[in-house]
Amino acid sequence: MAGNSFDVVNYSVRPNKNVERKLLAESLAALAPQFNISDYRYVGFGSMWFTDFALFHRTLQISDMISIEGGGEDAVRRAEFNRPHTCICVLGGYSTEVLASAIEDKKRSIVWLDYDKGPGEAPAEEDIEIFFRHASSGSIVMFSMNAHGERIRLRKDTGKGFKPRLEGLKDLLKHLVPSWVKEDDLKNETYPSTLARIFLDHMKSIPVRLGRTVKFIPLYNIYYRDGAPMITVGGMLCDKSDETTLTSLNLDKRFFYIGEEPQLRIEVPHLTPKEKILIDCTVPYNLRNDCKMIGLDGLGPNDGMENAPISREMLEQYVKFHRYFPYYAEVI
Amino acid sequence: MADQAKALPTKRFFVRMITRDISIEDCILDLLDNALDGASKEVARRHGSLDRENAYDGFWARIKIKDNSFCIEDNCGGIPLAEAKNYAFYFGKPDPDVNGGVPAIQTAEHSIGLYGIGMKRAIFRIGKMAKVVSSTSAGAFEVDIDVSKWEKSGEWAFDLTECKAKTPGTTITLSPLADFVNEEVNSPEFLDKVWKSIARDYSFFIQKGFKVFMGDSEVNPYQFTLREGGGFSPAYLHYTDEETGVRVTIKAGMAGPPPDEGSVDEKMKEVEYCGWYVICNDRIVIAANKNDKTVWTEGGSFPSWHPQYNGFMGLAFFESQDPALLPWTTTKRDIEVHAPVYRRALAKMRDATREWIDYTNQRKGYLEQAKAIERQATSVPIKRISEIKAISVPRFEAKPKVRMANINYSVTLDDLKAVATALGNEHMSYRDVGIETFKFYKENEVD
Repeated sequence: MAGNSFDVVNYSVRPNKNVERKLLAESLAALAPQFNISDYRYVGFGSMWFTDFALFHRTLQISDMISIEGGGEDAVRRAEFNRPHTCICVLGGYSTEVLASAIEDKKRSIVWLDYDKGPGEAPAEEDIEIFFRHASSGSIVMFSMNAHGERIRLRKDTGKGFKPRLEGLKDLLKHLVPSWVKEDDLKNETYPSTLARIFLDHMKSIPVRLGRTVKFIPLYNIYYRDGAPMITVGGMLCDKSDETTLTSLNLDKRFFYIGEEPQLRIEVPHLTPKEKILIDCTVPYNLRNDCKMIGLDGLGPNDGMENAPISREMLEQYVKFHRYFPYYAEVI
Repeated sequence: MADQAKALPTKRFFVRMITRDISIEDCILDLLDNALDGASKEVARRHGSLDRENAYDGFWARIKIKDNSFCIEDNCGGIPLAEAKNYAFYFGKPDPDVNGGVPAIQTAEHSIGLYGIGMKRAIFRIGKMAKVVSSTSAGAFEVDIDVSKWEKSGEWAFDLTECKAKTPGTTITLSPLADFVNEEVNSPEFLDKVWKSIARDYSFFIQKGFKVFMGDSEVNPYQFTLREGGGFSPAYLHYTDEETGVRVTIKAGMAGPPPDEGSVDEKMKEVEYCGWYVICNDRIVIAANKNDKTVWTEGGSFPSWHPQYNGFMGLAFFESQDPALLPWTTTKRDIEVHAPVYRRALAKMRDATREWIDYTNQRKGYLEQAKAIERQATSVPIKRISEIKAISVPRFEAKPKVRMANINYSVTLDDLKAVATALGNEHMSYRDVGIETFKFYKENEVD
């Protein structure tokens, strides 16, 4: 996307994150009633805003919710004050310390650990292991982490110059780095999908290593960017019967964003209300003809792009995600 | 006439016994060993010797793992029909005096296969059904094995069908897989582990031209290197063991810089390559060893392994035309620690290690100087290191006596990261953050 000031995101609204949350909510809702999602427990990092909690409570009817708050006693008090529903329990402590107690009672859970940090800094490996040791079949896990390629560009020990990125990644992830990763997989453009691949493979391998008779079925591999490039990877822990149920739901055929590969990129364009309303009139119909009809011609494929007020790429991204596009308004 | 008590083993008991202690990974490597043995025989037949650069050029093995199926295919000459009938499916090596005059099979020069058990054990451990197809230039055969049926039948034999000769080589297909094996062999981390084991443990064969593929990808050999320069030179000595005639070569030294003091408890990367290696006829039998199977002893005359020694790598090569003289066990992935030829070598391996231990102790007092020297040493492939009997390491000049004080305190990780970031490198070591902040205070606040 262009670097113009009107394309730079107002970080507080984070439209791509907003879209991602809605995709997750929609697909989780599609698991009900076979998986009785409303009886699940939701575990996440609610912070002071609880956006995901409010959404999942509303759309999935989950009312057993735990927010892990690692910011100390003051933060826990403030979070308790800000929680939108009393069914949210704020659990003080770092995820690595308290995640086990949040999920170990055999109740099925949806765990979304939305770190703002990257690998090596976020305790992803430890938390993944805790989840896979304690979670029961049917539980869902999602991890979000920073996937900025610059984060693995580490200085040489001499302080002068930088190490190859593969070295940097090995410094941060150690034995988790598989032998297929090459320097080319770690460029800014390729790193997010490489990082997702590493963690998805890791999650697929853990149940065997822990001797559990459950399998990890990947559902999400998402890239989005509101400022820092981020990835979300996740899926469901399944015994044989849950696997059969999950497969029968055909999620990957019903939702374009479900699946392990290729990585889904959420890059919604920043449209003006006028642009948005006009384009909304055209979808999901014949884009080319409808655009012409409402005076947005030049927007369709091979359709005289030089006259287009917005690029074809922006249009396609918008159309892909238009059902989830957030509305922002000032409320008085 | 005295009565008899029956002592025949049941087949099921037998199958359980031979598969009990072996991992799936080791089974796969056993099958790879068989392919290599075939290649060695072919090379020896064509050229008379294996001591050549690129001796294995043109030979390959390919491992294919899919849902509920495992397959290994090679072009390494195939199993001759007579050998298949009398030997290849035999459990153990036939003894001509005991087994009704079955002819002994001449072993390949430098053979790494020894006990005639690998293929069967791998089949029983990994598959429920197996198909072995092998062809030499003269003839070919197929053997189908249904493991549970075979366990129930009384006959200690497998049905073999002769067929027309094809391209020389052997293909072993196992499908469906035994219980719990499918999940394991299809886990990405398992595949990666096998890949890394092959790259490391077959490095010397691959460097001599043998190719191993996993799926469509070719496994590149791990390059063993030791550092030379800046006062470092690896030990390199070789001798012929007088009792056995086994040729022994020892190479040891610095593979990478040792850890900083204070960071030894952190997980270091690539520690899986540090320690001692024992190599028999090019095959790495134990790798990156850090326990009393090699020099490291608990409470003995020699120290046990400590993370402080990371960076050290030692390789002990044993070579003989007769594999039975080499210090390895049936799995070929472990050493026979009591073998006298090994004991004698161990003394020399300890000498080489001692220097490194002393160096890592000494460098603690001269850390900055040591790091600068270590950076001067460059990695040299072990094939090309210069011949020098003893490992040599830098010595440090005694510094003028300045009384030093150590500071040790804890801060929260968040605070530390924030300070490191402010210092311009968020991944700075804790130690350096301490030194830099102290320096800053001293420069600004102390006259």
